[in-house]
Amino acid sequence: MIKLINVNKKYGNFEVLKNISFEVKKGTIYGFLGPNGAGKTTTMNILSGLIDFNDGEIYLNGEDFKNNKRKLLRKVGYLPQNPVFYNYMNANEYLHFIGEITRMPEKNIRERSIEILEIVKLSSQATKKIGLYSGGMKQRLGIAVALFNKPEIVFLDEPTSALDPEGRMEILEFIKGLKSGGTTVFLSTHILSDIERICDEVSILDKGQILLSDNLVNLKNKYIQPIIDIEFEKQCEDLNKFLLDFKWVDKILINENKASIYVNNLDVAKEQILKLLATRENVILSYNIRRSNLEDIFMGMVNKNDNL
Amino acid sequence: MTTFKAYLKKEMMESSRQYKYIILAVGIIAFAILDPFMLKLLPKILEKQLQGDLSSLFIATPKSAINNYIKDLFQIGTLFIIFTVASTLTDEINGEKLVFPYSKGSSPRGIVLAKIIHYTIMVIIFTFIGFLTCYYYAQMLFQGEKVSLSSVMNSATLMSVYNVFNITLVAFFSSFVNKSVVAGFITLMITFLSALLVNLNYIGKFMPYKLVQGANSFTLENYYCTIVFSIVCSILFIIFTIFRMNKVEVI
Repeated sequence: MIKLINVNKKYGNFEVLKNISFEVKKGTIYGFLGPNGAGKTTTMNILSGLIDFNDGEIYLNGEDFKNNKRKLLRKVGYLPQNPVFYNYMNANEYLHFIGEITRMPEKNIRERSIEILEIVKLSSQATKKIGLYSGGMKQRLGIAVALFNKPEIVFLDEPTSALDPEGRMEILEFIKGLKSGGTTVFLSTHILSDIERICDEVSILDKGQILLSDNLVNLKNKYIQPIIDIEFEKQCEDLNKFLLDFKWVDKILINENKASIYVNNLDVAKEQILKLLATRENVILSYNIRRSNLEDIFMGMVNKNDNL
Repeated sequence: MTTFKAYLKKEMMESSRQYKYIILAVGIIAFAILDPFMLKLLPKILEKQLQGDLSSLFIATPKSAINNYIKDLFQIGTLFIIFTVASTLTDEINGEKLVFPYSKGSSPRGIVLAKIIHYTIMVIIFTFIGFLTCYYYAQMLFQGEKVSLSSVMNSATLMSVYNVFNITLVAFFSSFVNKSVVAGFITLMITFLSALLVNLNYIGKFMPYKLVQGANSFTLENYYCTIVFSIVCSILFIIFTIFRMNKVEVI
């Protein structure tokens, strides 16, 4: 559905995107993850035709994006991070304006406006000037605009960032619903739990490079491992030397008196770790076994990239 | 064409809700009413202040009343037109208002043409209304050298071409700069520079300000070259603006 091959974007000498390549399959929810300034929004802006790219190839539905941009964009919906509207219009007028741009017949525009405003729960505010809307309402209207012409592909840039927890859950459920309707969703966020909740595939972007691209299930199988979190009474910097010699320990992250021990054999680790630590003079305050999550994978990847 | 229609409607809505029509009407038509009345009342006001007969100093005729209106239209009306249109593209680009339309595949050509044609039609209508209003009051209030209606329409045509030139020029700069005020001042500088260069031998007849001189003499004769040149320049500015809007990053 969407294919990027060695896409490069520069501002002067600064390379924002360094030959990124990935592919998004039809009807999936694709999570695009990265810290601030990684290049997520730049990628989104390129894919929604708002800015050009310097090098590489992009294909949408197998068609070359650069040469068929205007035509292909009619199949695309985009929700920017901070949606901007004409504040003197109301929601009905703005949707009508968007409907005309996307060449929808008058009757369809009217019907779709009622339908989409109902979906984003703005029906009662449809005749209120957009300038008087709250941030959350503008975000909802942005979603309505992005989806107004029933696009095949939707790009959502931080769609839940301005919403309260309840609104966030509603939007996530709504995005899930889009997938069941056959729409391909490309979602950029740094809220990792959102990605875990709804995405099928994920890419991690950092400093303009794709660090990882995989199916979320494969990713969990490949990278997710048990972690034992232990809190000691005193500092525990010397724990590395003490435990890293054991084969069942992969790595240890230490933060003052807290340690996260990544193990590859949980059964052995459970049996031995407390016995070993009991021989030391540092009292254990708490002990917890957990599974690593996407956040651990993300932090691991980004930290590794920082050290390169 | 769909983008053009959508943006034309949007421009009309914006202009009426943000009082742009009123601003343009005040800048163009208000002087058509005020000038003849002020010219009529001024000697009487000064007479009371200076205690003397000043009638010989103020010889006002219908023609001089219209000339006075043309002068104000150039000096003040131009300011209203330029600074009203100056924000048309710069606000949309820098305010990120084009993000949704561009991401929906709208055509930059349609956007530029809708904006320029909208302002062009409005300014031409207001200019002709202004000249007709001024002609009516000038004929009603003054005696002496008269001007025929067809001659006044010649002046209105020349001033309309001049205003269209200014609209396309300011729209062009509006697509380049970050602040509408800057686009307005650059256009204003060019307008005043054109007035300074108008008396030069070879390039004088290509200066758009020549159209204002023509309007003052109420004839189209000898001004065809300037009209054609101004229209060609306006078309070129529109083409450059479309080119720019195709390349501009709207976010």
